[in-house]
Amino acid sequence: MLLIKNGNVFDTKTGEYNKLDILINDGKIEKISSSINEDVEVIDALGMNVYPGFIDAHTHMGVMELVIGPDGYDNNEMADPINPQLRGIDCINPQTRSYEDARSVGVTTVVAGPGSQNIIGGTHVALKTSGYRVDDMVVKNHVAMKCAFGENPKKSYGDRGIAPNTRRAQVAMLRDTLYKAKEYMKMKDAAGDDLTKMGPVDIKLEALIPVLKREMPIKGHAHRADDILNFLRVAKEFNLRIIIVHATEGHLIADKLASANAACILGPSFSDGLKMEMKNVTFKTHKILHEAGVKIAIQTDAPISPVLDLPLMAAMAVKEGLDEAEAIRAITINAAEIYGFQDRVGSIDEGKDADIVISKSTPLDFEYLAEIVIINGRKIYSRLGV
Amino acid sequence: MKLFKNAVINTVTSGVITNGSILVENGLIKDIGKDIKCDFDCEIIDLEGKTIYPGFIDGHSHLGLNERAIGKVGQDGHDETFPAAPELRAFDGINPHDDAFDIAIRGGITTAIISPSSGIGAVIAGTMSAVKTKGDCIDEMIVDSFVGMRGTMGPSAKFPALIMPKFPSSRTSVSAVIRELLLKSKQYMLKKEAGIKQAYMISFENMIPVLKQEVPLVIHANLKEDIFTAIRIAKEYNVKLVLLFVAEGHLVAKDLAKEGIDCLVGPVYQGHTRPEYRYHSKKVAAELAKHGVRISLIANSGNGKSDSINVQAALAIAQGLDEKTALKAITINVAKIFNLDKCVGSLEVGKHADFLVTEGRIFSRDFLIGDVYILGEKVN
Repeated sequence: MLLIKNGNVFDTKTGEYNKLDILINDGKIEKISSSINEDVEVIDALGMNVYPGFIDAHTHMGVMELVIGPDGYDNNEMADPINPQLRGIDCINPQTRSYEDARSVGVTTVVAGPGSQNIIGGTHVALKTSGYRVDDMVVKNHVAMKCAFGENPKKSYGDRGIAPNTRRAQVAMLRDTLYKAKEYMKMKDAAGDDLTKMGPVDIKLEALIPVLKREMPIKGHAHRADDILNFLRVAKEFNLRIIIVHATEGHLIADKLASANAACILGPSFSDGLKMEMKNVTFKTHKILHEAGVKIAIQTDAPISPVLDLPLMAAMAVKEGLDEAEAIRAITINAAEIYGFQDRVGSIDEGKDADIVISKSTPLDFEYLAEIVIINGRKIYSRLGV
Repeated sequence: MKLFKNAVINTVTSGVITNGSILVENGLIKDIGKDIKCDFDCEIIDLEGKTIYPGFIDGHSHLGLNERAIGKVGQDGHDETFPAAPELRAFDGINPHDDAFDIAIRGGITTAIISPSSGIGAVIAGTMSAVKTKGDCIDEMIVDSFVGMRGTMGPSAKFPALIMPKFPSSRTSVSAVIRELLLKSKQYMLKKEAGIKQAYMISFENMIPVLKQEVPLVIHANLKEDIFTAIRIAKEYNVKLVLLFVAEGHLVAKDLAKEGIDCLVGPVYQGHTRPEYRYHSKKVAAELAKHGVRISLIANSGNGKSDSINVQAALAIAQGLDEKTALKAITINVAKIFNLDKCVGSLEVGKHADFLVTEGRIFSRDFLIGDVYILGEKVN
């Protein structure tokens, strides 16, 4: 058991700080009250802020292990652009540097999985950042099916003279796959899940059934407004739950995103425009989308940019006008709600996992440093040594 | 009939018999113990107090499949043209005249599990066969033609995505190849059992014993992520998993013990040629055994280490493996992992008369393997 006393606890609902004590038992937040006295280990957080563990809503942590060369690159299958059957969980090494970095900055949950070189890349998984066996770290598996629009799939296949060579082909191939999956789903439903009563099994189409049944959202990599709109169009045709990742030009079509009820996971927004499709990147997108009523989360795409910068990216969004409380929500509860694991993490509430960050400043200050980080009730990082 | 007498017999499974004898008839052990009587026409061989061990079993080898010193033309262990090829059978590619067999015999290996090799693009590489190490015709050397289905996970199985983009070019794709094969085979099996007419598929047929847990799925997995992914997939399809090489096994020994996964460990002296081996340690076998994992120490014979199984064991002992476990790891454990313990792996009545006549203390530098017998016949 662990008791955090006297801290200013951030409330993700109201956006306010309240002086509260938090009792942790068996990895969960057992009780929150203005005064708890128990004969257990106490962390005195007097004068400090207490936050729910931060969530990096989109990464490739442990999937891309770039320092070891090709053996560590598992971000993208590069021979087939349609890969719904792939699962991010199958290749994640939690002993890569990103996970250690994440803990040190208060990021306690990350969503990790395949990259964006394919039209459909496979499923992402939500993980705690502490552990050595990925199966034991799972918050929720298959939180989203990754798909991609724009430059990446176009370049990685088109440059080799293989489809998709154009944006039109990307959309056509996605649509074609979804139609086939729909037919497959019907066939499977008619067979009552009995393998002997149906035609040949298809592992790719099989993996898309939860997407068509709206049990799993589909997460589309899209930077440019036209790519985002392509995604919205296809999603509407098949009635899919969607998440847009990057949404670099989201601010140009904020009303469309709001009316489509499309959550946006923004970032990494530091950029000197290496990619043409990121020409209009700005931290202003965050405020504009939020004020238009779009649910936003912030991501680093780690290791593309370091997970260490997640709080900084929230800070930059505030600098460009985003409401402070919303910026913190964008790296906590919003990310959890977008994927649907808010019952486990994302806020400091009784019954949730005891993932907590204690710091002297807010994460939105450039001088922010995590003092103590707790995952599943265990102190796993202390700036001054555990 | 032959009577081998006046020997110290290490049976492996039922202790050591001093001044013991073994009676052999039709290649099998008819009797074993002290004071064994035999008919007047029985051939008697006096072993003059030397020590007998059951012939060693190499739990993973490429003898005759990747032939010694003849270059590419003799390499039939790796076929990258099919990512999933359960229909390829080890014994269809074995040349019994490969001189690596003689080297293996010199090292005390009387039975070898001959397996397709790991390599890019060969995720499910085909069946493994248990074979005697002496003979002219592979069909006559086979102990069991299908003892396991061999696969590879991790960087070794994938094409390097950015250099050679060919499917599978990521580790997630490697997993998908295995899952797809298991799913399709399962449907095939269920339809077959239900009497539904379907085209005969040689590949899926070979997966049925895997799905029924009659033979293990033997997966090359070195990195702990790949080890855990192999376990995850094996659980999804309820197949019996055996892990091969396990270079990072010492880091996850507790998990492997908890999951009850048998491991084919080695070779202990391993080149650290790529990231898969960056945490490889000579301690792997000792750590796994300490936590209660059943291990087999492999020589990977046919891959340049054919006469080294005794040395492999000695090196593992130096890292803390106890001698009894080391001996089991090259005899009875291998037999049990591959369901061969009815016929090989120890010296017991009814089993094959495969044994080594030795001098010097086993696992020491002075250990000498003299005459080697397979099915009661001297083979060297």
